[in-house]
Amino acid sequence: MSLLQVESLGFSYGAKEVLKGINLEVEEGEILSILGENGVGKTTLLKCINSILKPQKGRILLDGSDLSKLRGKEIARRIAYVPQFSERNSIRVFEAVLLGRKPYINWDVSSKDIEITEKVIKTMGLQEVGFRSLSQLSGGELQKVMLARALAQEPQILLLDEPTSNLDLRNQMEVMKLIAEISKARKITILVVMHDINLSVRFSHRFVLMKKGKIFARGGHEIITEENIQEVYGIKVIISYVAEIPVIIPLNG
Amino acid sequence: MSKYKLFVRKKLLTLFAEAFFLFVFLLVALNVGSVHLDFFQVFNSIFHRTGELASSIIWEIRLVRVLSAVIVGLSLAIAGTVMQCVLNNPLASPFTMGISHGAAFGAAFSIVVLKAGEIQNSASRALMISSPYKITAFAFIGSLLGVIVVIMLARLKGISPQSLILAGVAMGFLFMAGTTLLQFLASDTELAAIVFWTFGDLGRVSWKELGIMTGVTIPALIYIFANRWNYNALQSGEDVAKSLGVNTWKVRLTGMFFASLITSVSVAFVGIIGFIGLLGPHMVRGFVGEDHRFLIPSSALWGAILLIFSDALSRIVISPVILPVGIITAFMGTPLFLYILVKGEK
Repeated sequence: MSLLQVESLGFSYGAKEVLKGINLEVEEGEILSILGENGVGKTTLLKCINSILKPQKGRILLDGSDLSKLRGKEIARRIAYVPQFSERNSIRVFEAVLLGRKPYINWDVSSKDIEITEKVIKTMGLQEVGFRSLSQLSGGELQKVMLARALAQEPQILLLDEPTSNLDLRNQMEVMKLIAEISKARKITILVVMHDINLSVRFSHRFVLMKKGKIFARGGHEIITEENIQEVYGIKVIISYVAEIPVIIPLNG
Repeated sequence: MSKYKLFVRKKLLTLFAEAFFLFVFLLVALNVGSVHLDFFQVFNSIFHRTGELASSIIWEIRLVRVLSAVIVGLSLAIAGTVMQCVLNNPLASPFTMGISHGAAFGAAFSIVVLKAGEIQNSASRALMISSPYKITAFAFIGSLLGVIVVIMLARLKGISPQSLILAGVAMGFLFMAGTTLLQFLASDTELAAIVFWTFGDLGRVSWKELGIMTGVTIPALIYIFANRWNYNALQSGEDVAKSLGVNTWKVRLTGMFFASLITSVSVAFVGIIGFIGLLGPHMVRGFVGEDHRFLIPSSALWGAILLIFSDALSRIVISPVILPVGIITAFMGTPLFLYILVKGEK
């Protein structure tokens, strides 16, 4: 059985239908990229999987149990979410990461919570800025703090919405490498919404191509073809190999 | 020792320092008043309640007044802290959101229309509240009216945090107009009672009323403190809080509910005292940060200190005339309000 099963999921904002009949299985330990045009429902799908939004149709099974029947705390111990935009308030890095322990805290933090927080901060290479306020961090550091908070939740599944969209080239690679390492070392399943299709192709195991609120195609690298991308993004591309890395190049017209 | 432990220890130290200052201010405030008592007399009277003048002054006037300042100060400061968090706006407080005015209107309504208070010709207690529970209940209803309108605007129309403050100010104006209308309908003696609510004053609280304030406030404070991790989560944004398993709508609603409750019980007995809900949390943020585990108790202590200080000042600044304490807090609070406003614009 798959770790996560999405069964004929439907979601609407009022009268506007955003997701229609989404079926999806996610296997343990894989990195799955969700690709598609802006406004196609990628973020909405992530939010449904984390129960931030309640889908009106269909259901989501986590390890076989219906997500809508689980308590918020139980979901939070198994699924973590990093939104595209993070609040840049003046809490300290340590406090921000410690917040990831929230689903485990009853009255106050335990020494185990502190220990896990310290470890995650180290894994993410954030020791230097551990007690700086979030408002003083660079974009790359902030993104790492948000990842660290999600990791402190010790989730089985990590949902990432555009983790590289506000980062420079070096930080993009660094964050993606970290994500790949985390996935491998901790056997965490990762669902990631990406706009940078080239970065996505390099780091993902499987892909979901979305079009108009539906899944257009899903599978491994074999579905990343010029025809499919043209269908989904409505633009002509060629796929070329540079230093054995596939590169998708959009063409004019 | 780990860096984190040091980090926490610093905050705890701040809390202890505040508690110590609060104690010192308490003692000093007991020594301030129109009748001169030396320190020994004050000290002695606290422990020996006799019928003597010094003992009466301490027990009947100063002690209840100072303890009221503590309860009201910490209530307003905590209400402000919670509202700033759940409304995601640094300018939110019982006063700026019109909750205090709503409570004052409710209290005035119960006096004029429901005859819950009467006026006596005694200098020390010009206003006798004949049914304190009724006044508290109506103050609470009044404050909730304002909160419901503001929350509905936020929920249904999705107005921005900035506009939310304006909505609160507008509700405040509406309640002030309502209170003024009641003043026209009121008899002379009732009028005196209503004016009392528009200028906060700690001098008219009796032990019984202090008991009611404490009885309502303490459980609310425990509830709020128990939610400190939820408030921390809310600070990181709606979606993140939800992803951490927080029922954000419930936390916001109950936060506003209890903030209104403790505000209204204060307003019912001491009237409108503005800006403590802003001054309390903002003045301690620099020391304890944004973590509500420390921010809540720290603002509470600071709110109490501020109000004791302001009240003592109001008694000595043009002695023997006692100024309404709300005037002192407004002089301190308005510059802060403007400062936050300007800082937020950047």
